[in-house]
Amino acid sequence: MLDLVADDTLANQIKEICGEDVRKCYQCGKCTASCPLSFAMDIKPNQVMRMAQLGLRDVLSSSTIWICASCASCTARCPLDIRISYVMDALREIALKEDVSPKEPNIPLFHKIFCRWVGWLGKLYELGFIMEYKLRSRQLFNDIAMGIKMFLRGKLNPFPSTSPNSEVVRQLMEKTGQK
Amino acid sequence: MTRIGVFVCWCGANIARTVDVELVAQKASTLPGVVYSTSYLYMCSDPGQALIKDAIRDYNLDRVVVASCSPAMHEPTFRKAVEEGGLNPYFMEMANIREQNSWVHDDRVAATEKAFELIAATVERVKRAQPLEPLGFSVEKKALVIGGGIAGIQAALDIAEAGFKVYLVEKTPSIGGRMAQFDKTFPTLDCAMCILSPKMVDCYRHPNITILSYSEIEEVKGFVGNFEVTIRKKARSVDEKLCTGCGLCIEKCPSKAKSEFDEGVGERKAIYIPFPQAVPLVPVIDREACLWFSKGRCGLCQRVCPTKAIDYSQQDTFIKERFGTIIVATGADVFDPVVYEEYGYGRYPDVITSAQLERIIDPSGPTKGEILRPSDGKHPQSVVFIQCVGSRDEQKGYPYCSRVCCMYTAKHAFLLREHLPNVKLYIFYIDIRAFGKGYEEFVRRVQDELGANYIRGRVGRIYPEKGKLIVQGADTLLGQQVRIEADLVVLATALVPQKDVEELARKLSISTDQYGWLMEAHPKLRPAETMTKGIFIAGTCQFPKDISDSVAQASAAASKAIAILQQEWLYSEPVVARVNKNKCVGCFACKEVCPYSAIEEEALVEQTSGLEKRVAKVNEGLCQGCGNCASACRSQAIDLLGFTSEELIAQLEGLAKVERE
Repeated sequence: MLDLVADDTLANQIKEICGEDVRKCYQCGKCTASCPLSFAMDIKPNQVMRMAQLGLRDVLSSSTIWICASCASCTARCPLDIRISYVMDALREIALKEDVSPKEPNIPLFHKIFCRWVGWLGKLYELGFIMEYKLRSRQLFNDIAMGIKMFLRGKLNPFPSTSPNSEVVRQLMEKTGQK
Repeated sequence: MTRIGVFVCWCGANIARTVDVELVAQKASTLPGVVYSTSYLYMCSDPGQALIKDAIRDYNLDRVVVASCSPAMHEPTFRKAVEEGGLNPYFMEMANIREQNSWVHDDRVAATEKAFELIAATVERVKRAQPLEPLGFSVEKKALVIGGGIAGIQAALDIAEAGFKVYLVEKTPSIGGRMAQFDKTFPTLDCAMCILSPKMVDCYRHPNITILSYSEIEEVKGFVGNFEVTIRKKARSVDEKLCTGCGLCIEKCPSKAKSEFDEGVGERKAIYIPFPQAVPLVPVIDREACLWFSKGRCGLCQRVCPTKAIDYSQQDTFIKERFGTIIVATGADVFDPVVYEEYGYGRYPDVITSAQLERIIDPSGPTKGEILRPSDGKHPQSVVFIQCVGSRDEQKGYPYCSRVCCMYTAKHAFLLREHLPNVKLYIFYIDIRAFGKGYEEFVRRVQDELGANYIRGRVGRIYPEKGKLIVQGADTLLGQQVRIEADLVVLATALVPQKDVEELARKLSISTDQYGWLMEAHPKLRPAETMTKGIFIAGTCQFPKDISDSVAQASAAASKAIAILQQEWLYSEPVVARVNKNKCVGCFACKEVCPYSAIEEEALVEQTSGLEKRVAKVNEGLCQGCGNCASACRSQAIDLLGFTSEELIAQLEGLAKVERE
């Protein structure tokens, strides 16, 4: 059983980060109904909203916040105009800041490596990025067939190149805290 | 020298908690002109009022100041007390030391000082008060009811039964309104037409009721007791006196259009009677669909009519009538769900609204009461209902709850089960609001006995797949996304204000809220009145409500209207604007700012020069005493009685004169 002690710290944190008030939610479930990925989530979008309302921090270790693809179907259809995709962003941010070990560790790892490469070069060096991701996530071979296909079609440049505006991108990354 | 009495109210602890009322009363006695002052626990109570009356007699008072709540609360109470004490009621002024002092301050010392200052100012004002007498008007003993739905019908019958003449004006060709479109009513499952049509016929036969169907309000002038209304009687193209309602014209008419009464599910002819029980039973020609009017040929109806009642040359006519009172019962419209692209209304023929289902269920509807889905005319095996379509939605609809959808959806589930014993029923809901007598029991019955599956959640998407509609929704109690194969999807659409209600409200000088619902004077205590005297509201033009509530409000509005019609004379507050004709320069800036059209023009001949000049004149029946004209007047020629410049400036000076510690 859950000993419920209502706590609006989390709701306030979310509001501060993205401006959305989870307390507005009246649990109609249209977000869950609209979500194309809800089948893969351990708790559903409307349950994320509920947990955020009550301040249950377990929401930060849910798979949902990482599986969310930010397609914003929920946001487009929410009858109360809550931008649920922003709330998901905020929850991810809080989880990272508070070092909550993610239930889907590869997803934040993917984001982190992606940002670092872009920060370095001002654009993505796909091959380097993929190799690093594969090594660090220890999934060396599962996408290899697609990798070969992409290489043959010239989608993977074997050599890195930099963007002429790489300095601007680096500053951008620094400003948003993604180093 | 005036002899003023000051009466300071404790209002229990409401004022006394923050204001030292005894000290205030004591200080007030030192003000110039004040000969008596006291405080009391509840000045508005009987003993409190007796205190005022006795003091007027014992101390020979000629002016009274009551320091208590807002005048909006108890001004009539104290005016009456002062009148009973033998003074003109307008020799009493109130100092508001509750709403404008004790309720909004915490500092007791400062609040006490402020209370005294407010009293000192009011004392200066009341010294300049003039005696005023109420204004009297005669009453036209006839009522106008706008809208011939169940609310309008009920109100018209009530007033007619009380012995007064009523005009019942209806926009569409027949009275009956929304209720006429229903098959059954919740929760008793009474046949709607069986209980409605006797009332419609009563209206038609009642010697005191004149039904003006296919008519609209053109212009409203005047004021309570004496409204002057122009009604536009739209060209029906059929002579109501000659027509016998035989229907031969309808039979022969070759042109068809979508039936408004059947919510577009069925068709009607270009000359039509909306439904078999229509009152009056006289067809109307839809000139857009009619071949004679659009192409100049055909004329079949005219040829077959045995009484020569068809008249293509008919024009709109205007009827001018005087009424003592007006009841507005114009009803509501249904939300258009086409904005919800995810539901596919308008794209998928088997996604329909509840109003359309109502016509499909109705034995006199386009399918003769057989439940056939629009796309292929087959019986549906699986029906999904979606509630709150347009309601409780800030993004695409309206934030409010439409109050009737939970119940009509339960009713639809019940009726579908009755027609199709094996149909699977799914109802997506957020909360079930079954607040009325017998309502909760009805919904329980639909769930328990009739096996309707209530799913707590909303629908995110509807898409076609292999001849079925796939409804993708959420079951928040399961914490799952669910998919349901449906043959028919019914959207429980919100009730929304009528499109043209704002225009009507403007003509009547009554107000609407942010959505377009007509505003009641007070949501709890004056639910059937508007802020304009003599105009009442009933039914769903005020807010969504069910038939029971509409009828109750209609009878309430009727009884208020009867109370006016019974008077020989009406008296109104003499707080009206008055023009000083000598000062008026005839610029009529006042006329532009007057929201009640109360400023008239008057011609004056100056005695010395013999020149004619035009000046403003206030129609005291129309004037509501808002004071707009007085503040707009460039030559200070207008004063609001009871709020004259002299009084108000004295009040300000009184405030300035107080010595502060």
